[in-house]
Amino acid sequence: MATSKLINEVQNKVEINDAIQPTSFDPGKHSDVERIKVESNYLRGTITPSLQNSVTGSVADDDLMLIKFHGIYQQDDRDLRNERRKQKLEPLYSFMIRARIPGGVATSQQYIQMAELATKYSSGSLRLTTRQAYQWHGVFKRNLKKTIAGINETMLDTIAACGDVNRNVMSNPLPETSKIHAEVFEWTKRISEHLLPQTRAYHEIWLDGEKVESSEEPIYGQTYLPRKFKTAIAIPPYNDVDVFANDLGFIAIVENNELIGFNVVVGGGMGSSHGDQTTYPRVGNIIGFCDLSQVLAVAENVVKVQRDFGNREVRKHARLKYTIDSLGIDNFVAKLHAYLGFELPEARDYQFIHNGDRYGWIEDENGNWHLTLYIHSGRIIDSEDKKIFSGLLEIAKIHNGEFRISPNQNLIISNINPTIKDKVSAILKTHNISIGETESPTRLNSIACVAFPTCSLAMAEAERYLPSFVDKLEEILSEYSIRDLPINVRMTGCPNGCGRPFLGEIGMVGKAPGKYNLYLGASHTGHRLNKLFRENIGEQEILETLRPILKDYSESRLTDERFGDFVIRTGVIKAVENGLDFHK
Amino acid sequence: MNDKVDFPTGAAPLNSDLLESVQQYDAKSLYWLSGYCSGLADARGKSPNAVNTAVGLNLSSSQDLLEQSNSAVALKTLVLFASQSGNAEKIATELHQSLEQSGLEARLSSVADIKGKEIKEQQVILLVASTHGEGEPPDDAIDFHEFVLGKRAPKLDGVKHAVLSLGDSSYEFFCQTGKDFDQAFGKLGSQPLIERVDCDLDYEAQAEEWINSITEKLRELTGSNPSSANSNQAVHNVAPDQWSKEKPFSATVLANQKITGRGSVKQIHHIELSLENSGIHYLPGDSLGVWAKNDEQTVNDILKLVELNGDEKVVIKSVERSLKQALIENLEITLLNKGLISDYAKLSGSDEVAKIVSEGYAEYVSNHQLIDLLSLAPLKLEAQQLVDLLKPIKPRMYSISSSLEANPEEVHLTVALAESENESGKRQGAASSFLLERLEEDDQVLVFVEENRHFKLPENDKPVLMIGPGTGIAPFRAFLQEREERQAKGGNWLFFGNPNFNTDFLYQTELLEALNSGVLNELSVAFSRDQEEKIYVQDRLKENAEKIWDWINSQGAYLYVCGDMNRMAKDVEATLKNIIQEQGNLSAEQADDYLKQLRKDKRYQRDVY
Repeated sequence: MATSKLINEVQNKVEINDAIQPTSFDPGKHSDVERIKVESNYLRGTITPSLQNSVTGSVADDDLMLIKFHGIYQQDDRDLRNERRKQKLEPLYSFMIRARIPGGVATSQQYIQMAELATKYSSGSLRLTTRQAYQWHGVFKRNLKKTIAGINETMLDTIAACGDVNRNVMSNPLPETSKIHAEVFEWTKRISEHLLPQTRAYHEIWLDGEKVESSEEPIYGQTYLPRKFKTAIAIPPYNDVDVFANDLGFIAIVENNELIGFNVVVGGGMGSSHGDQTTYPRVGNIIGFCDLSQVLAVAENVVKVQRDFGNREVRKHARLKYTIDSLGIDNFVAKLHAYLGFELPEARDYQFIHNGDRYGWIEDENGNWHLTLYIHSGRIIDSEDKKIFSGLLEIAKIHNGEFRISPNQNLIISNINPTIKDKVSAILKTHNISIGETESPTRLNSIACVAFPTCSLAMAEAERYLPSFVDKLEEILSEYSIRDLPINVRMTGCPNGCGRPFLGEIGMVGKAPGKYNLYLGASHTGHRLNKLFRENIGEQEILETLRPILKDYSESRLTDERFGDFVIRTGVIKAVENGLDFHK
Repeated sequence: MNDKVDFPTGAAPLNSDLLESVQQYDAKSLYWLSGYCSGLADARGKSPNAVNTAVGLNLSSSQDLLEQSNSAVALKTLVLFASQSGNAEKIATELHQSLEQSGLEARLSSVADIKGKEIKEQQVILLVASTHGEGEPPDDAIDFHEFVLGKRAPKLDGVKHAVLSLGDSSYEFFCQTGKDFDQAFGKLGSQPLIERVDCDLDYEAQAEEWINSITEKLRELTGSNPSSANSNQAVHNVAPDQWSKEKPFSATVLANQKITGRGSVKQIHHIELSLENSGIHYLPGDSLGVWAKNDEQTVNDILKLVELNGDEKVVIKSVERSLKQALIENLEITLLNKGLISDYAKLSGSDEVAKIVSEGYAEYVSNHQLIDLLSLAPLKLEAQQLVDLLKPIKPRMYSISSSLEANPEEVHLTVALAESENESGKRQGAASSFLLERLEEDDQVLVFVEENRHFKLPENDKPVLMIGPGTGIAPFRAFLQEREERQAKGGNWLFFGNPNFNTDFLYQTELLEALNSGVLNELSVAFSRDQEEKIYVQDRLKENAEKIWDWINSQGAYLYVCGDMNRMAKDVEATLKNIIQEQGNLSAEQADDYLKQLRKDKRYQRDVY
């Protein structure tokens, strides 16, 4: 209370001459999404009537935007679009539901319930996201409310899993040093709770909660944020959360085995638009250090600066990274300090070694086991040769620990009691679930977004195509005897950035069916962005382009030199020092 | 000419001796005598009409008796029709014209417009009745049927009647309604003018013969002269369309599109045909007859079973064709009937075949075809033998799903593949498989329009409530197009249902557009298999009871039902009665009467099959 009073006082003294007032929508100026938010009565809109409308599988236009705040995206099966148009049927609309799970941690019991909901109401599979969330795909409108009610029964929810608010807060999943990890996980949950929208709309719409007339959003106000807002916490030396790709990042600082605070990172983000040089991916800036008592205030006020200074006219310029570049980082930090009422001291030292996952079995200090499984594109599904969905469900039924999602879309079964270790191994074997023993490091370090057929933004394949692309890439790697070296491959169907393509040592971003922009030169640790190398080319040309560079890499790399660093050193491509250089 | 004529005697103010002696005279003498008597009565100052109603005999005039002995005497004649799709009405109209051309006066009416007691005032009742579904009368004949077969029916002693029944021999209760009426008339004391004739779908020739026989018979009875009366007028009356069932138009397929989505349990197509330069006209609610071609593979299989090669020449309606051609284009090979099964039982001497007629006939014919029957007892046949076993192929009728106003020179159909399964595999309906699986764009198909006067839109300002699950939506698509063209002010409310929302929402995008543009005011849908409990259109009716009642009772809405007769239409009707009863605070009987009145007022029309 005292803090917020102080903040208000300080805020009044700050010159906010270029702030855009969030609560007064200007139709001549602001994007239409701002109108929708203002008119929505704190995210209610016409979602309830939309759900009751039985003659269409979609929701009303304005509600398309609002349901995202409730953790739901409307999609349609794009493979069937044209066929259904001829059949005089509307597109086959369905919904993707994303559960907000701070740090991606769920208990076995919760996992079982989520899997059962998938069998009952969705496509029968679960998807792990690169932001540690669970997704159900293919839920039809008539089952939407039942599914969301079911998710809430597991004590999880979907509020703010998407939308112009702070979304799921990420943190490292693998607690080798359990004490620090447990503490950081608590902060993950606290930040998530602190930045959660306060509207009762979610309970009213999905859980038949009592109608409450007035809602207030003390942090967000009625127009929420100009754009999505992503937060992650990393515990060095691992940067698997890609902390620099987030709007707001915290890097845990540990001294004498005690968590003392965090370095604060602001302004990271992946999204960009093809052909629009005013949009670009950006790695975050480290702007200082905060101790534990300041964490929530820092989080809240970074959000508030973005709320007041973010661009509400052009959505593709609305992320925090553009706010910072238009204000200038110094100006931004000054505003933040003014909002905070104190200045952040200098950042502390830290070191990252990589941003990938550590597959297989790891024993922790308490004698419990943690197992990282390789799940291609995060898809928990039964296929002909791999029964991942059934196998994991079987494990969940004998396991008393947790299921943790890695930021690379893999699954970690954690705190496995030593007594059931063999049983778990046997189940994995009978269901042909990989723990990353046979796949090449490059395959294990590859990420693809969903793309076709469900994502409405996709211009090219990603998840369905990545495995066969990696097959061909592996042939070349084997030819030059570098199959054992990990190279991060990131493939996405569009430049929006869901699979963090601009942090791939080899990045492929869809332009059109079968055509991609090829990016090279990101660091293996996630510190440095890649850069466009070839535009709009197909598989054959991509492989022919990569072949001589990989040959060169196999012959003349330095000791431990990663592919992303090699292409910079040898001048194949220029390094991107910050986002504004991305297009240069 | 010594047939005993039992004219009504109850009202005759004469003793029975005299009547009995009159019975001995021949027709000519009787006519002379009647004229004589009438003249005599006139001379004594009594109106001939008074005599005529009392005795039931009518003299053409009171002119010179002897001279008039040659001219016609009118018998009070009623030509009735109980028609569902309009065929019975057409035949009755033709009969009426034929009578008038022969100088025979008669009144033409639908049974729906006749008060039950009016029939006892007749001397001759001529009825054309179609049968609907499992032996039921047409919708608007239900009241009359109930009356004639019920306790309140009047005695018809002395009346002469003739019945032509229309039906479909593939149904178990073939021509049942005609049979019902014929028997009921007999029980009530009437005598057949000529024997009842039962017609199958190819009724034309029989109907023509029936009309001729009746005309001939009545002319004999009345001594009427065909050259008299209004023959000039009659020539103009018969102005048949250029295209007809017998002379179908060859339409080009413009589009043949499956409109059920992937994974649907149903296969339903939207078919667009060109009527370019045909001059064919139709109205929403009318049907299109389609002459299908049988599946060539099935024909080959049949030929193999009877050990014929198909090149054999056979005669069909006095035209020589190859057997294979005849089997594809002229003969019925998908629908079985009792006659065919009995004949084949005799030919083959197979007890198993013979047993079908007596045991489980209805079930057998529901999913078996000629190929199955022949397989039971394969037999080498002569080509003409096979032809003689079979009935001519019938055209299949489909409710038109387009408005001509909205789609000039086009006609659209909404056709579901009729498929059944038996121990040997899947069996498909002749026309639906022809339309859906063997007909491609630019192909030709023989079609004709059949009017349905009992399924027509009301005036533009009347609200319309349409209940059409499955392909029952067809005429309502036409209705909506027509209402839009006419800029009709009356509200439109459609109830639609099918198994699954994702795949079976027929014409969904069109309906959504109609909702958006305001042509469709309400759209209530029921998808039976999308949830644990089954939900049907009647459930949606129940949910909307209050509003429906308001549409019907306060706004004067017209109700239309199209689709499956046996389950859907019955359940819908029961639900409607419940709604009327509950919302109107009526007794069950009053609700019944309310619905009957709606039907009489043409505010409750059905096209069910």
